[in-house]
Amino acid sequence: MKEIKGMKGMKGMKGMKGMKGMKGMKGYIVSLVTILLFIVLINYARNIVEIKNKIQSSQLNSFAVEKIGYIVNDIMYDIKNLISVEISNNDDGGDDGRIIIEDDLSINKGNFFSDYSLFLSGYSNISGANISLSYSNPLSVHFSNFHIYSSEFDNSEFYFRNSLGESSVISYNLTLISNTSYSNYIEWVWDDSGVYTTINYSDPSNNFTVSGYIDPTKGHTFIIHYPGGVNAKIKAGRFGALTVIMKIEQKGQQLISLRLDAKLLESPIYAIYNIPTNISILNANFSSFLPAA
Amino acid sequence: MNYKMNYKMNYKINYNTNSKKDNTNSKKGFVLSLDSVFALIISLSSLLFILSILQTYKSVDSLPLQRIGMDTLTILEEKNSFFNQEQVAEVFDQTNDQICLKIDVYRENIESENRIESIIKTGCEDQISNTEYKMWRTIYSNGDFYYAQISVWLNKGVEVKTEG
Repeated sequence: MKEIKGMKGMKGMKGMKGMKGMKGMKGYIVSLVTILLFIVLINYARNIVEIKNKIQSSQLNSFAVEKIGYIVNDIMYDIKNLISVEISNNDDGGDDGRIIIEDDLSINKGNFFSDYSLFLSGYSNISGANISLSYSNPLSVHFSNFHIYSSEFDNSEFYFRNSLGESSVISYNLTLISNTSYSNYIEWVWDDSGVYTTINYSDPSNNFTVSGYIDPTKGHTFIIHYPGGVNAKIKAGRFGALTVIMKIEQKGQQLISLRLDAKLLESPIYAIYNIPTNISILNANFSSFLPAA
Repeated sequence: MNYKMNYKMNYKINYNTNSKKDNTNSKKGFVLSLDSVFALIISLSSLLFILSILQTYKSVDSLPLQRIGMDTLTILEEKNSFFNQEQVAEVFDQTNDQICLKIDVYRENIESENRIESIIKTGCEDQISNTEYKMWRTIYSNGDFYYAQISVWLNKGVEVKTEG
């Protein structure tokens, strides 16, 4: 009987231990589930943040690109104060186009660029963008149809021509403004056909408009004389291997403004200044010539 | 005698059993307290970890305001209107009522003594905000260089109008 009771007691003890073991296991399982739940929650939060960060960084990168475009546009508008360019198709349709160049000859371009470089370094500091411009004499505008407008820093010489030689200019309309009254002018010999050319001139005392055809295969020189033996020369037609060029040379500083309106057989798509420009913000970078139009 | 003996025996047995129970209970309480402390530490550290992860996300809500600032400066430069208060006000009026704008023009560098002009959008004079966004544009005019600084912020005094 004692053995049987003992056995029963033993069995009872084993049952109690089993129950306690079960309770312990339950605790482990609850703790494990809680920890797993937290791990899942942490991973979930981390994934959400990762996705949001990716979206955010792509938004910031695209904004950096926008900001670079904005800075390029800002610099372009500053340079436009020196040479402003407009390109368009002719109103009558077709492929022919129009280039309008306005050159402010009252500004010494060399002085402008040396001051502007200093000013831009301050702009780099406040805008958080790395900006560098490389300018060189002469300042020129290159059009996609291979035409070039070039202007010396000291405003002594300007020309418009096709870098491939032959030009597709149909007509020129040149407007010159001087701050000095001329003594006299000598027109070139007009031709019966060719490129239709108009010259509008004005100074404090005089103004005139002359127009007619010039044969693009021949050289033409129009001279405006000023007191003191200085002058301004307008050259058009063939000079050396270059045809239908429009070139203006001046001795001394009389001309303060030059506007050239050229109609061409083909329209340029874009125009750039000969100013290599580097701008970088975050991961975005612009490294090219500064657009002019 | 027997009764006394039995009483003593029973008392001893009961006493032993109770002290064992008390020991077990106090151990159980200690383990439970330790368990809850661990649980609390794990929960708090997990919450802190999640919060720290969530805090790494920075809002990009300022981008639309910065875009408005850049667009306004571009329009003003294209219209050559920086030095014309009426034209600046006209451009300001084209923007949403919720947007506040202020333009300061500085000569050569952004120092308060070099500020030559300051124009604020009508209705925004009393709505100065701590969360304003600044953008800049360079200007060349009559041989001098200038900075135009635009400040953009939300006018909290204006209610959002919903159409429909």
